[in-house]
Amino acid sequence: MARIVVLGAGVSGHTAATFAKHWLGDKHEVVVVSPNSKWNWIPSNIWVGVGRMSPEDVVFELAPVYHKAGIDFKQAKAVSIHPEGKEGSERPYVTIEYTDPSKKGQTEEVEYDYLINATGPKLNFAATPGLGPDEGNSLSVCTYLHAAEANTHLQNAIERMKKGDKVKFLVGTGHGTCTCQGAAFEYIFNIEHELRKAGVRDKAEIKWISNEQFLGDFGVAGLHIKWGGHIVSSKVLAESLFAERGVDWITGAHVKEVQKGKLAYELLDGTEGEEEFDFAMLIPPFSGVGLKAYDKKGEDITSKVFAPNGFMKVDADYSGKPFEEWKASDWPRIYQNPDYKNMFAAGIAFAPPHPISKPIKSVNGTPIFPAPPRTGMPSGIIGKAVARNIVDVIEGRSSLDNLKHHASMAEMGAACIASTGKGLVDGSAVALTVYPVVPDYDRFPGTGRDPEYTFGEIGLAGHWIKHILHYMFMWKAQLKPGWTMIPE
Amino acid sequence: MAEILTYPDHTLLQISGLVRDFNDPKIKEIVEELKKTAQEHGLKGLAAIQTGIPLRIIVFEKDGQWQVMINPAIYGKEGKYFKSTETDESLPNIEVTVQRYPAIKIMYQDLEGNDRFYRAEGEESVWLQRKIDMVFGGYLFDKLSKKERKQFFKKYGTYGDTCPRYFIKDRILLGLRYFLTLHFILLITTLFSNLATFVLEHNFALFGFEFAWLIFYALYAKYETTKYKNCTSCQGANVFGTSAIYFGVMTLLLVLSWIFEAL
Repeated sequence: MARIVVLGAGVSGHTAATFAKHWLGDKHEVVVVSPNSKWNWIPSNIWVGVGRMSPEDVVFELAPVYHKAGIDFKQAKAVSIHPEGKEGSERPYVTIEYTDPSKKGQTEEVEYDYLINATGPKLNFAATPGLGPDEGNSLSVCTYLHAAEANTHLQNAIERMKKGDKVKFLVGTGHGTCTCQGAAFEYIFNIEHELRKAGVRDKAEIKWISNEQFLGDFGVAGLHIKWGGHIVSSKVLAESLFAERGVDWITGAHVKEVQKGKLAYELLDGTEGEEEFDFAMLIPPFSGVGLKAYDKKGEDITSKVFAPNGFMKVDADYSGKPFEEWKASDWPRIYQNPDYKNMFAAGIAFAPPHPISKPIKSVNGTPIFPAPPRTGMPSGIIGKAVARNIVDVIEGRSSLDNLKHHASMAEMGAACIASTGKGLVDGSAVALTVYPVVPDYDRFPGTGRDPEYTFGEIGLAGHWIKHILHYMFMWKAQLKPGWTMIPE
Repeated sequence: MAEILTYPDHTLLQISGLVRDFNDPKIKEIVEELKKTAQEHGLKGLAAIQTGIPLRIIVFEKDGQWQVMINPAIYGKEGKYFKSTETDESLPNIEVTVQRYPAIKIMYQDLEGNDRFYRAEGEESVWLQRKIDMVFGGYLFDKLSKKERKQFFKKYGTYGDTCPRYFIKDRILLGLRYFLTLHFILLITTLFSNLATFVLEHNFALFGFEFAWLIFYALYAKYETTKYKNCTSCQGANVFGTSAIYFGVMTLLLVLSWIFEAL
């Protein structure tokens, strides 16, 4: 009997674990280690953040779902990986520390035959002094609890505006290397929509601050959008949307420090500025979760297994090529660690070879450009491909040196639906697809992307689709009837 | 001298690609050709896409000197939007009033690939905003409101057949919508008259017929999506979403039939 251990139960880990168990049945063991007791459909956190959904609507308890599926669930955080085993035992293992209230603080060694590291990101609020809900200076919508807290502040702000106060909202990215501009984009337009509904829009000043080089970059260097039956570039659309909704903007900004009611930022040209606010929702940058790795003798091999940013090295080209030499083939295809072939990293946990957008530094040398997005759909697809390869090896259809299922982000398209206001008849959303996620300048000279598949639409239908996706993915993740038929 | 493309040429809709290799001698050749073309047409400057080259390059003359901007991006602006009435060599004899910022900040690279910054104001700012829009595949009329754009297309014609104006799938769906509306009206009629009771008697047959119609729609839409994939990328999700909504309506009609029958 083989044992697959999956670290993390986010989109990628959950997909990998559930499909692996589905394909393997009871003949083999699947263990999931996650510090969280609940699964969260993160895209809908935006609606929790404006009070249009409750936190309970976007989460469910993992334990009963895994119990029903026959997956062994350990509510714990992974502390270290020991891919060579230890003195007296060849079997690799991970050390975990329980977060489950009944065993809190206890540690355990969990042996594995195959390891999938899908720990996702650490929300690295510490990268910017004063950033984040813990510091109390800015809000976040990255977790359902953060989003609920943001909503409490939003409702308070609406009450203040109803009494005649003016409130300034600042929404965007809290560091020069953030990704997930889309989430902040959704949030700012959902806030704007809610303020209009509440009849207090005239009392609000709303401003966008982001590390994108230009408005409409979306962290993917722009794309075309179908808008009102006509095709426009996302730059033009974003400028029009911001102007139409009366939202001011600052781009090319690295937020240096957040204090109570104000933040300091640096721009691409090296100039510095300050922005005051009453309400700020700023997305943090991501980093690895801080897993350690040790060899058989107990010596630290973290730098061998992980990249400096804490993400796990896989079959990518980490030689640090300059932008003009980037190739699609730099990106991983099977997400296998080069030194320990039974170890894989899926979703955000793998170390990208380089960014997706052109790296840009300010004149002072501060990096100000979006980190490569690898959340959502790519995460799910990668998790499933990794699970498929491991299952094939276990069942003798392939070997660890000849894995057949590929999921390169340079050969994969991704769809994203960004809500710009929730409502059955007055809602809207921008639906985007990008192909390939990582530009392939050899196949598609110029932008590196296929213009026919890099496209989007804005409208009410987009909102309905986002709503349908919410229920569809909650259904799928709870392994309800037909879940395997629902795509990633 | 290169030809200047004009509306409604589709090339102008492309998003120009980033210049990556600054050692490529072609880049300098393109820049020289652009300068020559602008001079011979008596223009202040040009974006490369206006001559059919989809690269992020703009040349313009300032105080007798040629300025070259490679990979330009507007990272900042100053002041409030104002109305600007403009025309362009790529939109000859067409004037459009759009909104522009009075001053902008641009980051770009020079011919050697060095990062440069530029602040433009007044007429130069407006001209650069228009050219940078073009670099990103934006026509002047993209800045218009939906109503103004409709008037623009009515006056000057659309830019061609990039997307068909009507999809057959939409007509199939419209037919189904009319049928479902009629079904609903007849269902309500059964509450007051015996004339339409056949909708209650044949509720399963009607549901089956409507369901078959929906399946036909979904299959045809899938086919049409592949045919016109350049028009929209989210067709798959749209078709799924639309089908789900219609399926919901059909199920509701079936449930209502049962309730009315039981009354």
